[in-house]
Amino acid sequence: MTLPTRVQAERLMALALLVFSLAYLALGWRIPVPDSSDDSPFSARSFPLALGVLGAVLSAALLVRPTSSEAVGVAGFAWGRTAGLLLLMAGFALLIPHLGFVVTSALFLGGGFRLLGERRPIVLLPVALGVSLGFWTLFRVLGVTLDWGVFERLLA
Amino acid sequence: MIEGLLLGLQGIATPANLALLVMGCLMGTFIGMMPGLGPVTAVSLLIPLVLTMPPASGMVLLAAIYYGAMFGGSTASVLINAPGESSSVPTTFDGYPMARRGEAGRALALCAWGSFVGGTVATVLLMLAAPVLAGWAVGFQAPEYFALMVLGLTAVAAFTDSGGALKAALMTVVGLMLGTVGTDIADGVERYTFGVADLADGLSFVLLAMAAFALSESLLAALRNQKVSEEARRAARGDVGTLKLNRDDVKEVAPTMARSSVLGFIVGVLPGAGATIAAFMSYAVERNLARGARRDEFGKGSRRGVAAPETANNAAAGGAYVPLLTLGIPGSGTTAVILGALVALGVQPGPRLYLEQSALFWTVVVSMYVGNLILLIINLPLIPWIARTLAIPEPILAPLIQFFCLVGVYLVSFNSFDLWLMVGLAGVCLALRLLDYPMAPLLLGFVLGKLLEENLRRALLVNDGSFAFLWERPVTAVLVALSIACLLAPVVARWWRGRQHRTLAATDA
Repeated sequence: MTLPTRVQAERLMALALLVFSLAYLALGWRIPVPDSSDDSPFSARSFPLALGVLGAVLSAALLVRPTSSEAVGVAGFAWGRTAGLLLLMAGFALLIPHLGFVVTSALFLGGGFRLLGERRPIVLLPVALGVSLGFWTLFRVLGVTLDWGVFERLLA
Repeated sequence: MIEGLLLGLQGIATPANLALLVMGCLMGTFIGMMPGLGPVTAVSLLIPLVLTMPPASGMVLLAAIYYGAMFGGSTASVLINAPGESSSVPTTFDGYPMARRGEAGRALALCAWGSFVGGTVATVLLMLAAPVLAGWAVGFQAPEYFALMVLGLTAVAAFTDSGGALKAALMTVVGLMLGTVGTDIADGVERYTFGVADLADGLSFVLLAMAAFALSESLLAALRNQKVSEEARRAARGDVGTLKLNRDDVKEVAPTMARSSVLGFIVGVLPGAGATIAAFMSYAVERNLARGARRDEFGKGSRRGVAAPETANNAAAGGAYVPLLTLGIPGSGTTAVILGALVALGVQPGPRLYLEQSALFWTVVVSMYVGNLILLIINLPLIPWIARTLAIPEPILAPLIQFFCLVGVYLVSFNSFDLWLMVGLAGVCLALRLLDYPMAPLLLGFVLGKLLEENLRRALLVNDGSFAFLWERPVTAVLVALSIACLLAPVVARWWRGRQHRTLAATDA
């Protein structure tokens, strides 16, 4: 898959922001206005509508005339690893209510270290687990008890 | 003013606040030293910690982190030619050459002393300027506040050093849009919540600050495959040479520091023109003022070339606190983050802060001075040890930063929804940053959005729905004119540059 050129990427982003602004504007029209505000010069809808129009105008301007600075080379960019990091973070959000803080944190850190190239087991597990337990303990000392999650259920 | 200083000293002289000052300076230096992580990232990363404290302590910690991170950024500039953020770029011009010829310690000492002098002068000028500004602004009503916020937003958009004014303006608008999510206070209706209960109170400021700065920065570093450089490994061994300045050094740089302090402060006070412009301007001024051999040294390891930007950027950081504390208008990305944190702490910056909560105000002012002292006395000697963190491998550092962000947001609400939102926003911010869309206007728009809307609503209600208040009230009219000037400035600048090119081309032909 070939990456878009800089100008194409600029236009795509401007288009995305234009769609966002138009969607914001359309949803803004649907904001209910209480009867008490009917005669008021300014309601809950006024500011969003103004912003939607402004956003649409600015993004349309960028779509027509992209203002790219010098093209930044993307050769050598680690797209896969970065996507992997985002997925790991999503995994953290998904798992923390179920597995608890310590396990989820250790999995995230270990996964992150491994994804970015750390191979040594002596670093992976001890550092990941050590940081997770260290944070759990620190917050416990500060009076915040973080969820043990799966351990709590196992011990119950 | 003396009573104010004594009030401030009383506020700062508690073991807890002093400990927070030292901790903030050290943490800020540590984070600011990491390549690519500047004061904005340092402040946004530590906000969850700040929010657990009483307002005075929180403000003290924020100021300490800001100054510490500025100092840390300079350290990275000198030791490994990798400035922590844009205001530290001029320091690399002469700081890194000094380090290469074995004078890293002297360069770092110049940075520390420059920061101290700049920060001290800024604190004194802040003490003088704040009462005047607060007294003037206390008569402000909704129209003036509305116009002031518009000026702040347009100035930051116009003077952004990334992507151009059009992209910055669009990011400001997107930030304002994000600020409308939640329940409208006046009418009590929900806006853009899509029926999700977690959005009824709006988006979390911490979440947006983390996603826009710290998280997207670490993802960018991973994307660009940044590795620990050979310079970083060498610097991490801690061998920096003497950290002292001799009499000749002091004689050489004293006038530079004096000039750069004042210049930096004035530039810092202007909304939108922050530490970066101050640093570059003062470097250019000092190079132009130097004569003969001294001028030739610039770019090759000039002591003035290190002292000037370092003094100016710290003075500008102090100057930026003037509009923030007395008017409630942040002038830069970092002060926008700080404003968000202050509002979350229940502190509303503005003239009322100075007049009605003077103990809080003076505690912050005195903490800024003491923070600079701590940087000089504690941070500077610890540099050889702090520098060892420069060699933390990227596979370890990036996930750790991301983990701090995730935990920081989780601790605010213990809510997975916020985590999902932050991850999604981080991905979007990464894409925006790759295409040079600046994040500071986004955050500034978000932080000021609700206040802007509220003041506009009140102004229109009082004026029967008419916008005439924009030109009929003198102060408002001036502020609006300045906003228009800011919007036109990039256009004029482009036209002027084009004209100069055409003139040069005609001369060459």
